[in-house]
Amino acid sequence: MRALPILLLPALLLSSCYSSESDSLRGSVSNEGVSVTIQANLPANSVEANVAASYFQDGRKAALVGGDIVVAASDTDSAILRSLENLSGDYTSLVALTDSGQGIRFSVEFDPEAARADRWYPVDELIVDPGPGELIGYSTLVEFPDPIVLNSPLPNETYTDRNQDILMNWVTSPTSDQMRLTSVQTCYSDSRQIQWGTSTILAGGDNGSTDIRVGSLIPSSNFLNEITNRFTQLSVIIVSAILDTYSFGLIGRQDIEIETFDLEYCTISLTLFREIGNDLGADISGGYAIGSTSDTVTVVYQP
Amino acid sequence: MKNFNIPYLIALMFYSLATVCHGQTAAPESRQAFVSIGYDWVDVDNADFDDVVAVEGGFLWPLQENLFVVTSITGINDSSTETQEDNTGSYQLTLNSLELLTGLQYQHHLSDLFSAYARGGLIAYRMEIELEEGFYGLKPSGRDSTSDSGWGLFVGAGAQWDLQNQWLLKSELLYRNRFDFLDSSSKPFDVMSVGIQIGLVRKF
Repeated sequence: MRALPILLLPALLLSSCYSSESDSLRGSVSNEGVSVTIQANLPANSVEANVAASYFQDGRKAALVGGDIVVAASDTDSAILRSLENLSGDYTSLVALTDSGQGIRFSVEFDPEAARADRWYPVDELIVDPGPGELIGYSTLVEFPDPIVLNSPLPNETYTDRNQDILMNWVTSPTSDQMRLTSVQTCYSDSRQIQWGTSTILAGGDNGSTDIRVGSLIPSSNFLNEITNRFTQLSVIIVSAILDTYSFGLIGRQDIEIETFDLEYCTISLTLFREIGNDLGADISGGYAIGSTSDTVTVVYQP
Repeated sequence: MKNFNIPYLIALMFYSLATVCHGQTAAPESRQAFVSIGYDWVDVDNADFDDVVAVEGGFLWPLQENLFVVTSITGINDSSTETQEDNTGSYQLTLNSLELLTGLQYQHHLSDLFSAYARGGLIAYRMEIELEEGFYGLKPSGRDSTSDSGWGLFVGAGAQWDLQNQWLLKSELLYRNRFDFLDSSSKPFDVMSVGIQIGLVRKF
């Protein structure tokens, strides 16, 4: 997807296009002190978790430079989180794990050589060490909810009308956790491609089913897709990692001029998350630490 | 880092001179001194260094007809990478080196005024690399450098035109490869260069 030569709108955007319940797990970033927004997600049937994190100082997103890094560690693996866009402050990686019950610990560390490990020259011989930043030492443990597996729709199920409903079914959990549905729509017309995303909390919660109108995901007229809060950004980052889609730094307002498209077909990737909140960790004053499990299915809209 | 420095270069030069003194007894050719200026394309795996102007000066001592011992001094002068950026910061690297080349040169006369030659041998180098690193203004920037000595190979081929009065004009394509720079580090690397040169030769 990333390699397609012509991207009319390469942004993956997020909005709340359909009715939803408020998010009870995502606290606000504090204007004072250190805040975090962290999510660790374990996709169905996977032995690797997608992890994403952002850190804030006095309400402003902080970039980790000069040897400061975010490390996510599971029972068997640890990984440095990287940002595709320098200074964006949104960091992500994959972490292998064998026992999801032990969760994943995120910590900000100062490791000048590890931070530069991708460089071509020997950083053990050549390094400018400016010393650690102020975020070093903050640590958060994220645990996962029960796994989730979608029973329907089936992969590549085709819909031909915007008035059709996509019926989603899954096995419920006794803990009745929060459920989030994040979607990525990609529409094709000749050599052009348009892509955007939506994300919302399911009002019905973990009740085992929900239905979504195709037209609510793929409107017939031009619309403004907009992400205005930080609550759902990490979900989009997580989903884009699952789908290998580029999204970092592209969160913002975007006009989707779908009327200019002679739609051949669209793919709709639906990711259902089961989410739980976790303690932020010592001395962290705001934000959230979400542990989630997910399952993704991609269906087709071909008018 | 290897324990290798200027005294070692001097020893290598004495070795060359000893070889020359031995060869002079049967040599019909003239001794020669040369200086040349060239344009070098510097290449390191996974990095893109600037091309630089290089100067080389040296001597040729005849061993026998058409065969010389050649010794010269040259180097890399301020060859830098572009400034690159990653999550950690921005960085630029600059190479400087001093090199002693010692080997053999075979010369073939194509006419009274024109000859072609090829040369090859060993390089003993002393090279320094400097890092300039910044952190997007969020932390203080700075510099670091390190140096190392080592060996390499050179191969060259060119042509000479006799300008009369003991002077010759020469042009050459010269390949040099310095092996295992910073070989005690986690990522030693070779520094290769290919240069085109033009120069003057004085026969004695």
